[in-house]
Amino acid sequence: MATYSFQPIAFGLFVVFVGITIGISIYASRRVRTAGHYYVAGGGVKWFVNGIAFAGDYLSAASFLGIAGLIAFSGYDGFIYAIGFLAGWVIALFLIAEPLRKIGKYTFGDALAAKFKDRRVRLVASISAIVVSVFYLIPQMVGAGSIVQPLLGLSYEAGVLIVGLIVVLIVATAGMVSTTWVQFIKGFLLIFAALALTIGVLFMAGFGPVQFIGHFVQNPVTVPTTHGNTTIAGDVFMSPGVKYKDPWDFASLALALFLGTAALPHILIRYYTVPKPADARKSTVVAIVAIGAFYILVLFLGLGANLFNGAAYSNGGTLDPTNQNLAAPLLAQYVGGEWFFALISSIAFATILGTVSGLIMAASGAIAHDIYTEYFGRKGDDKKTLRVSKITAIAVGLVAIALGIAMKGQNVAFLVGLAFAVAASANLPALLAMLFWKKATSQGIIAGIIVGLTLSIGLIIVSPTFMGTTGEAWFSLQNPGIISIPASFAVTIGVSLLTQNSAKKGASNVAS
Amino acid sequence: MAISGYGILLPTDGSYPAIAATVRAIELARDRKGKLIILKVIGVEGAGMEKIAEDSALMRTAGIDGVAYAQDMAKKNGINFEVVYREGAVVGEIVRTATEKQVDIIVMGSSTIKGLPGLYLGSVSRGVIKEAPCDVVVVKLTEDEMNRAVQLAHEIAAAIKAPPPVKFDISDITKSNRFRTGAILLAIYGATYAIFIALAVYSINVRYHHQPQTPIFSIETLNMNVGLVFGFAVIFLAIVMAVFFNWYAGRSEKKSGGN
Repeated sequence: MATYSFQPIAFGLFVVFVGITIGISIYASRRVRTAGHYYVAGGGVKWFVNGIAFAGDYLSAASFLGIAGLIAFSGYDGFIYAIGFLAGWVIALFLIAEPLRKIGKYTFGDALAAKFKDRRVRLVASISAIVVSVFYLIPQMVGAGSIVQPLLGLSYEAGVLIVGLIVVLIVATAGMVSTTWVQFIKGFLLIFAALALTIGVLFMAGFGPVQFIGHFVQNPVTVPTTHGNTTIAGDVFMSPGVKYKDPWDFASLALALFLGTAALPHILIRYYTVPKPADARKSTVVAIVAIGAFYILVLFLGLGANLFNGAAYSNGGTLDPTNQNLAAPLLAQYVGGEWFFALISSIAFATILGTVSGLIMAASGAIAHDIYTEYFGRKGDDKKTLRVSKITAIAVGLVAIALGIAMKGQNVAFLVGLAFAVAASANLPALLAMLFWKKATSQGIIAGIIVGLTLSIGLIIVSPTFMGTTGEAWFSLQNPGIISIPASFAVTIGVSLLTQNSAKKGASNVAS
Repeated sequence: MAISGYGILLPTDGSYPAIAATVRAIELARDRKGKLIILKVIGVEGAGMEKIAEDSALMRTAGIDGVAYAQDMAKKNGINFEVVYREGAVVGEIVRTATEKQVDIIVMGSSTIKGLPGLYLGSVSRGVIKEAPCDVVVVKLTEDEMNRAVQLAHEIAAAIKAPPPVKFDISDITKSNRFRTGAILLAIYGATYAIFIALAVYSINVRYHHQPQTPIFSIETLNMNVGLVFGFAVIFLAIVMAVFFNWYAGRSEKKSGGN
C-alpha cells in the first residue's frame, strides 16, 4: 500500500501553474468590461485555441485520472468509457456546432428565446443548465478532494476548498477570457503529459504499441483489491464485463455518453466564443482529434499502471486499490521519478481547474444572464450586469465547495456518467427540436426539459446507487439514460404536436 | 480605381471607434469631394454584436445606429453617399465591398484588443489592413474630437430606433450540401457505435449467461481481440470523419464564395 505525504515538488509546480493562471486572469480582467467579454471572451477566440480549450474543458479529472484507473482495474470496460466520451462529439460536430453558433448570443437560453417568443422557455432551459452543471460539478470537486491528499499531502476538505477558491478567482476576474486561457494551457499540457507518459511506458515495457496491448490479451492479468490480489485471464480482462455485469445498465450508460456530450452546457457556451459558424466547426474538429488522441493514450496509461504494479511493489506499487484515481500519477512516479510524478500531479489539478471554471461559467451565465438580466428584465448598464455576473460566479463556486465537501467518498467517473444522462435527457431533445423541427412549440420544449430533468434525477434517486443494493432499489439500473432520454424526446414531440393550434394563435397574435 | 471620383468606404457598427471613423471619413469626403460608401455588416452576429457591446461599454454608453449617424452627417455636409448592407463575416465583407466598389480608401475605427489577450482575440481592423485591396486608415481621434462626436451622436441617437432583433434563420446551413453530408456521416457513425455497443452487450450477456460460448469481443485477431480492434476503429472513425468533414466543408464554402 502506498503511503502519501507532503510532496514539495508537486506542490511547488502546482503553485507555479496557479500563479501563472491567476496572473493571466488579473491581466486579462483589465480588458473585460462588458458582459460580452465576460461571457464569451468578446466572441473573438481563434478556432484552434477554442478547439484545444474544448479539450481542456471536456477532459476532466474523470477522463484523466478516472479512466486511467478504470482501465488499470477493469481493463476493457474502462476503454469503453473512453470510446463513449469521444462518440458524443460527432453529434456536436455534424448537428450542433454551426447552427448553434449562428443563433444565440451567450447561452443556449438565448437561442431558445430567439426562436420562441415565450419567456418561460428561457427560464426552464436556464434552470436545466444550472442543474446539469452542478451535477457535473460535484464529481469534479470530489475528484479534487480525493487526489489532493495523496498528491500534495493536504486534507480532502482543503483540496476542495483550494480548488474552489482558485476557480472562483479565475472566473470572477475575467470570466470566459481567463477560463479560455486556463482550458487552452491545460488542454495542451494534458495531451503532452499523456503522450510523454505513454512513450515512457512503452519504452520501459520494451514493447511496440500493438505488442503491448497483445501482451494483456494473451497473459493473465493481476488486479489488486483491498483484500489482496486476484488474477484474471487476459482475454477476459480485455473484453467487456469485468465491471459491467448488467447488459441493460451498460447500454444505458453507452446511450447517455453518446447523447450527453452535445447537451452539456459548459461545452455549448464555448461555441459562442468563436466569431463565425465555420470557426465553430473547425474548433470541434480540433477537439475531436485532440480528445480522440488522448483517449487512445489513456489506454496505454491504464494498462501500464497495471503492468508495472508488481515491479514497483517495493515503492508501494502503481495501483492503490483504495483510490483507483491515482493510477496515472503513481505510474508517472514509476516511469519518471519524483519530478514526473510532480508534473503529472500538478497537471491533474490543472485539469480540475479548467473543467470547474467552465462549469461555473455555464451555471453563473444561466443565472446572471438568462434569469436575472433577461427573464426578470434587469437590464442595467454593462457595469452592473458584469458585477451581477461576478457575484453569481462566486456564489456558484461556494455552492460547489459545499457540495464537494458534502459528497465526500462518491465515485468520480460514475457520477460523471450520471451527469451525462441528465444532460442528454434534459437538454438534447430541446436543442435538436429547436434547431431542426419546425413544429416544435415552446410548450413541447418546456415539457420535454422538465420531464427529462425530473425523470433522470428521480430515477437516480431510486436507483441502487442511492437506495442500496439492487434488490431494494425501485429502479434496477444505475444509469437512467435508457428510460429518461427516449421519454424526454417523446414528451417534447408529443406536447409540441398537441399544442400546434395554440402556437399558431400565438404567432398570429405576434404578427398582428 | 473608382470611375467617378474618390471612393471612401466607411464600415460602421455604431460603436464609438466607428463614430470616430465617421467623423474622419466625412472630413475626407468633403475635402476631396469624394463619394462615401457606408457599409454595415450584419449576419454573423457574434463578432459584430460583441464589438458593439464591447466598444460602447468602453465609452460607457449604449450603441446607436452607425448607418443613420453616418447618413445624417453626410447629408449635413452635402456629401454624395450610398448605403450598403452586407451579411457575413465582418472582415471578409469589408474587403469584398472595397473590392467590388473599387474604393480608394477604407476609413475605419480601431477596436484592437491589446496585449496578451490580443494574441488570440481577433481584431477587425488588423484583418482588414492585411486583406484590403487599397489604403486603410485606422482612425484615432483626439479627446476633443471624440467628445464632439459623442455629443453629436447623442443628439441623433434619440431619433433613431434600435436595430431589429436577429432573425432565427439557419436555413443557409441546414440546406447546404455540407450539412447533408454531415448528417449522412453522423448516421454512419451512429450505426457503427450502435453495433459496437450491441456486440459489447451481447458479449457481456454471453459471459454471464452462456458460459461455454466465446463472446464475440474475445475472439483473438490482429494480435489483439475483436473488441479492442473494433474499439480503436470507432475512435479512429470519429477522427477521420471529423477531418474529412472539415476539408469537405471548407472546400464547399470556398466554392460558394462564403467566408
